[in-house]
Amino acid sequence: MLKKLSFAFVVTCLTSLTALAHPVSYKDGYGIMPEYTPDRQEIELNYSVTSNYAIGVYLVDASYKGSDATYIIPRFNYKLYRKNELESQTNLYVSGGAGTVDYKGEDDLAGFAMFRADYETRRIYTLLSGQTLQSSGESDINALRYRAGFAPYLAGFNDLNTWLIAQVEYLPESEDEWVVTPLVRLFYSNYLVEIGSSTKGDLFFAGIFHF
Amino acid sequence: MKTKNKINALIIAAILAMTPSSLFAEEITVTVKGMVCSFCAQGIKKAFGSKEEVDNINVDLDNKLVAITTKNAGSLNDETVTQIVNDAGYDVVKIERK
Repeated sequence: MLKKLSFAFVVTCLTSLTALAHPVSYKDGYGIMPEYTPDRQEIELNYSVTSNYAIGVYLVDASYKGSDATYIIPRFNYKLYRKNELESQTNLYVSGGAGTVDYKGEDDLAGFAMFRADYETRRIYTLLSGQTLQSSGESDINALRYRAGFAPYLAGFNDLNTWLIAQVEYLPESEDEWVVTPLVRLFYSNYLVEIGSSTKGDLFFAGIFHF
Repeated sequence: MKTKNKINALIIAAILAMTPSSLFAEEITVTVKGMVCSFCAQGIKKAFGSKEEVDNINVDLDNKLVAITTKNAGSLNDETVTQIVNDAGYDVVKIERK
């Protein structure tokens, strides 16, 4: 299973390099969102049926108490709230799903739920998200993430956009419960990539490809 | 006289046939709310770009404008334009044509 996930991750990276944060994009739009840290690799694949909801699958391979837990979860994403203003956008998304987890050679049922709230202008960006992966076995994984960032220059529609972002995560099941990661986000056209390093030196890589 | 009229009609028809289609083009300028990120606004470009009636699209994030050039005037009505923008997740403030 790990090999399959790794393959999907590598293929996605090669074809797109991707986590803004929107599990729902535009009507008939597809989104591929991989994310990598040494302790956790994941990829979201979503199809937006409308601009209000999307269906997809969520693949996660995470280190949990010394073993790998691999989740495969079909998911439903819903845009619960959006406020469009001329100079800003505010969003609240919720997602949920049910699938399986492979942990220590045992297959268990797994459930997933998350929320993701963000506010952005052309200059500033902030996000709060929380998620839980629950299983009928041992491996329950929770995460809370906060981000704040700014754009050092205003980029046009056809320019390379650059953002500098500080990310703080609370990972109660991890050895390091609090992880702080400064990162750089670059995007151009429908390609977005984020690269950073945690204060402990761990690589963070994420991206999004919309098509 | 009848022959002369026929020739004139033929000349006019030939001129119309040779007239560049751009003469019939229309520019629609849409002011859009929520368009603060070029990555997210790609959906607007993609949606208008998939329309056969559309010749060109320009997105201006500074002024929150989407300028659509159509091949023929009147081929995209306001309702369709609004629907496309809404399907991309944004709101229309106003639509201007010239």
